[in-house]
Amino acid sequence: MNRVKHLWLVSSALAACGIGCSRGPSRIVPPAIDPDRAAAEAIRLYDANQNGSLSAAELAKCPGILAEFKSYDTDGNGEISNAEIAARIRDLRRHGVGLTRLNCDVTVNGRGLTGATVAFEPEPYLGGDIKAASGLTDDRGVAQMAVSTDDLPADQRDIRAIHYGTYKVRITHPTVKLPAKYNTETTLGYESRPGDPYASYALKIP
Amino acid sequence: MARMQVTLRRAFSDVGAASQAAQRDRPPRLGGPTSLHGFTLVELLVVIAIIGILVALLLPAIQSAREAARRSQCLNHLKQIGTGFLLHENVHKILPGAGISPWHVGDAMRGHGKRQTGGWMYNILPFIEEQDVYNLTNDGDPAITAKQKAAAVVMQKTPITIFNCPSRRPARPLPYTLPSGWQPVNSDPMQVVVRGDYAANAGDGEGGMKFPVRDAGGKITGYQVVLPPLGYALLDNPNLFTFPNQKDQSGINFLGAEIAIKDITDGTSNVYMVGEKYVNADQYESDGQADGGDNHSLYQGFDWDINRWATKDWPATQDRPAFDAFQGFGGPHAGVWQAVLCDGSVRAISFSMDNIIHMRLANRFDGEPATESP
Repeated sequence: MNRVKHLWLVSSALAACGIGCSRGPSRIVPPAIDPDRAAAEAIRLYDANQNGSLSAAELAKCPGILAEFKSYDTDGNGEISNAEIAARIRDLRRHGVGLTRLNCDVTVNGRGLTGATVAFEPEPYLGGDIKAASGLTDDRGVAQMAVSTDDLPADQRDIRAIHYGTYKVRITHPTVKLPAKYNTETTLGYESRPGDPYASYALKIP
Repeated sequence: MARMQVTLRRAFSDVGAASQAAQRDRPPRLGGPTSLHGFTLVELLVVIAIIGILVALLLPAIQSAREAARRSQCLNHLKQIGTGFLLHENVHKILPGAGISPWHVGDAMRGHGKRQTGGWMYNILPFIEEQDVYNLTNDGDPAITAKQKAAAVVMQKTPITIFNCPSRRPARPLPYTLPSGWQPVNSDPMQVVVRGDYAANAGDGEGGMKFPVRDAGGKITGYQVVLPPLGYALLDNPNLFTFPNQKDQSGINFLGAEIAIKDITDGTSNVYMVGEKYVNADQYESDGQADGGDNHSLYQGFDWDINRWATKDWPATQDRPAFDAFQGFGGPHAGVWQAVLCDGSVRAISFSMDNIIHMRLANRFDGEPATESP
């Protein structure tokens, strides 16, 4: 009995030592995605002609992939296959980045648009772990994109950043009437580019 | 248990016969059976437990003392960098230039100021007693030569102790694995490069790397990254490339900067010169593919690797695993990051300092000296 007690003492001392040595802010756990399942789901959602791969025309409904079409189409056949989507998702998640900062420029006819709301809507095939992000453009037409603090754990609430992912982008403005192709029927997409802290949208209205 | 005691007793039986005799006369020990000498296992465990607890109490204190020592060594590195900047200003009448872009590394044949292709780290080498490293690319020919390109590879893997913070990583070469599109034009391909832990203050311009674009009337229509052409012939042709206006960035080190002390109108003690940069804590010794602000060599020109901004969106942030925030200052120390100001003084600055003050300290001419000492 005594021996058990003493062993317990020693191990608790070692545990205390371990706690004492740890420091720094906690790790940001990246959203969980199963690349194979997500790729199959993407094909199921967007493959209108049922040939098992996605063409540029089919991807009009998924502008995030369309924006990076060349990076996806590694075999260069003009169609994106299930395997290519899975490979791309794996590549994007390779370094385990949990959150990243992103600034989004919005111009209308070449001038910065102030007061516009930029909404990033994650592609549904990625699953629910990647959260929607939004931002409001400042007086220079730049929005800092951020996941809602409600979607972040308590120790990350001070962070304004987004998840690595593929998004539909919808831009709306309270007074300037923007065409439907920029919001409700959006043709704007974004996919994370590691090392590039900018996204730019040059809108045109007649 | 009994067998253990026998072993222990044997182990201690070498003790001199005299002491054995002395012990034989003593009454039996408390807690022990009828044994005359030696330790029981329980006694040994108690001793180990006590030592364990004492070590547990001591270890965090030792760790924090070690970290405090590394932090003050980091502060010393910043002090030397600051002295290098001011010596450069003494000799050339301007602070070191920022270099051209990550596609060019330093070239000793291109002098100082904005035409020098290497960044501030390259520019201050002669003033921190590293003239030999500075001269590696001195091939006697103003054009890019094969000899210079080979020397640039050697230069890019030469560590400079004071450009690394000991709390983060030692000064040593790390793998360089970026796609060939990032290859500097005045260097042969590199396998390894040394990466720095400090970044010069490029200002509080929210666009960061971006400069304003103006229409014919001089009105700002937008912001974009200025990409200088590759190679000296295009770079030096004023019809093909002009440097952006120096007033378009508010810091002291950026593309085209030739800042003299008189240009720092907020006062040298109110403006950052060089500070610690933020790095994703997972990527300290990585291949550089995941952190956009820590992937090239420290001998390159203007880029996120060696220049940082203080904006409303990019406050100073403590290094954190799996968080990408390479636009701003920060560092590995608990609670503070460190910087040298333009007067050469060094400061530890709390991460909790108001970001507005942080931005004012990054701006050399906003007419708003910091209201609070950093």
